[in-house]
Amino acid sequence: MGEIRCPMCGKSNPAESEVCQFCQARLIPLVFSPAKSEPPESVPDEIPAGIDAAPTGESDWLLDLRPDESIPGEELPVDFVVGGSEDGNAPLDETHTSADDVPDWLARLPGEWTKEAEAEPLSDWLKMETGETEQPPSKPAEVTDWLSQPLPDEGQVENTESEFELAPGEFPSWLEVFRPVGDEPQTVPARGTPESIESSGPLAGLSGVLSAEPDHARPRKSPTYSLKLRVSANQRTHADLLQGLIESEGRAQPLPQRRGISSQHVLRWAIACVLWGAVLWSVITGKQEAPLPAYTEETAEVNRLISQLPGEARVLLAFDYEPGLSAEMEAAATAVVDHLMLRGAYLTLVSTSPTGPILAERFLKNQTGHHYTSEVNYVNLGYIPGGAIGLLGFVENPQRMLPYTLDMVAAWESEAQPGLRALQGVQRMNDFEMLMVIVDDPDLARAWVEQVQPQLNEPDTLTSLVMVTSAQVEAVMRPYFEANPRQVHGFVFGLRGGAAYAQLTGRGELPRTYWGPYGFGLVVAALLILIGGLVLSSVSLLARSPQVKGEANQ
Amino acid sequence: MSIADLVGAILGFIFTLLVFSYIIGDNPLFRLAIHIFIGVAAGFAAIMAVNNVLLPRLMIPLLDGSRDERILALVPMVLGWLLLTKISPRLSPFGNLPVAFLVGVGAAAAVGGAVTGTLFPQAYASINLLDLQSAGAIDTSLGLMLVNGVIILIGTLATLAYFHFGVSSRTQQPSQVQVWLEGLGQVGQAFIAITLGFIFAGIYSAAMVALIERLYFLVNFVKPLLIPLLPSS
Repeated sequence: MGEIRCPMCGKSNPAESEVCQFCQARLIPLVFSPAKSEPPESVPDEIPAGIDAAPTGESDWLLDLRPDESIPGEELPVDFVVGGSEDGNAPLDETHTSADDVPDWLARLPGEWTKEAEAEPLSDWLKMETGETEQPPSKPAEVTDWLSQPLPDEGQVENTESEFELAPGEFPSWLEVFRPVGDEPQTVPARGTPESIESSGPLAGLSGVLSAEPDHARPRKSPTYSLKLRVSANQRTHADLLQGLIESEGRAQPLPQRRGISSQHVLRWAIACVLWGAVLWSVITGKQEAPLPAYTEETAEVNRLISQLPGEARVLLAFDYEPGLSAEMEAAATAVVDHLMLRGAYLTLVSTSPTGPILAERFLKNQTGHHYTSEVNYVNLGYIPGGAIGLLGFVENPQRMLPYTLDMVAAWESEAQPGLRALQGVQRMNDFEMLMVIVDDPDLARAWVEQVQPQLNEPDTLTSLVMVTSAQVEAVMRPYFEANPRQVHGFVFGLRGGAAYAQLTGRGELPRTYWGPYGFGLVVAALLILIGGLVLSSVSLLARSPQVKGEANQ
Repeated sequence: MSIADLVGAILGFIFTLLVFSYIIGDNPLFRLAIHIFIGVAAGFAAIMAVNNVLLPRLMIPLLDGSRDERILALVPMVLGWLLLTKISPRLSPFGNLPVAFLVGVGAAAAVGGAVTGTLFPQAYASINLLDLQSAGAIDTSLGLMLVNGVIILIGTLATLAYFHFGVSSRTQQPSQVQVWLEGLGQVGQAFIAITLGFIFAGIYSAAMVALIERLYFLVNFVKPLLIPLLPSS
């Protein structure tokens, strides 16, 4: 070997060079000098024979593979070999001569005893470790030194390292530059620290190995998160406001103090006096007679349908209004029902309101000039319970829904009895010639149209659906009338419609009586609205002008 | 005039004045009249329910009906008893069955009626307003029908646009209603205002007729009493 390659920079150097001529790295390793180290005072007895304790850590068989070239410092002192001649044991080479016949794989098996181990009795702890009891000595076999060495305790390893500590060597000049200045010895983290010792798997207990389990697979303490919400100041304000609202719900509110007479009270009394005075004066004197309004298309259509009814027609008449609006409804319906009675129609009275049947009786009683008798000319079937559900049930099967009259008399025709005259020949809803609904509620009026009208769409049905409604229902009912095809065949709305119908028939005293004060009251109300609007606008303008002037001055 | 009519007229006169006392604000006389009205209405509704519903629909079939009628009458009777358990907080869960039945059937009837009685027919009618063939069949001038149809179409679309609250959202831009949709919604707002004003006029008209009727009643009640006191001319 004429050249030696630098382990650091990889360049070739002469064989005799100790340091690299390029990078100044040391080419020849530092050799332990026996003269500089203290000889071990004693070798522990527990260490069995055959342990290679050479400073380089190489076993004997590795040393045998080394060529005969002598490396400076390679010669080891005799006393450094564990189990050497100092303690009277034979040298390690002697085991080779006595175990030539044993194959290598058998020699590597644990539990085989070397010759030295056979010559020297095992200590107690080693016997327990290997499980050896009183076994007869076997033929010594060649066992590799490192394999025959039992695993020492941690304390023993530390003692061994401290005992065979290497002497400080010479560092190259370039390395000396990086050496920290100071007398304190530098602590270099040793390999195989407890933190890097493998804890699981086949390599458990070994240090300096790659971890069998990745760090992320190891169980860790789960992170803790704060349960406290992060809210902004705006959110906090809204939350406080909501909490205040909720808490105030359960808090008893003090009764407001009775206020004295304010300008609002005076204004309200003034308006009431003007309106009431005008109407009362018109009612008492009766001098504000106004011409009845002209009939409209929907009113004329009702008149036409009633006029075309056959004699003794069966008409279903629904009274679906509350007592509070009976004044308007009676004024609107009186001329229409009077026309029906003139035509000699048989009336069947129903209502979806509990008070409807008694209002129907009162209405017919006030129809002077006709001698309609209960259960003869008309029949009152009473109250249809259930709202829209009951209405649907009545439309589909009226006999089952309302089997008796208001006086608990069986109303419908059956095999056992002929039935009342007003319902003879009527089995279902389409057998009526006309359905007339007198209603004051928009939702109720719509329910009648929705539940009844699809039933009337069957072919060969001549039943017509007409309505007499309050003035507030006109907006809801007009689309049903103006639809093509019509869902409501005609309707009369409010006092105006009743008065128009009274003009058509020339009868109906009630709408005529009300029409004069009604028109006068509407005129007064319109004047009040107009005057109030003008006053309010003027006050607003007057209050605004100084403000505008102030802004202009600024 | 019978005694009943006379008593009824006197009570009507008194209660009319009690209700009119509300003009000076909420007072015990007005509240007395309201409480009496509510009590009378509830009592009358209870009598009507017993006399017009329970007796003919439940008791008579159970006592005097055929076997099938009795079996059928058991169903509402059981449901009615279960509904009464709502009085007790401990037994109230038993009342959930009839309540669920009532709510389910009621919703089905209302929705079914609205769809078949209002939604489809009104949509069909709105389409027919612009159908010249159908418009010609009605005894109205064609131009008037078309104008009417266009107004109704615009009103319908504008009102729907007013109740459209969706916004277009784009990245890095604030969400905002489209300009044309906002303008159409303002037109719809005008249509809604006109409709509400029309309904208010109807309510005012009904109240005016009620006032006139009551004043007529008071005058007609008082006039016979005052005529003997007036000096004869």
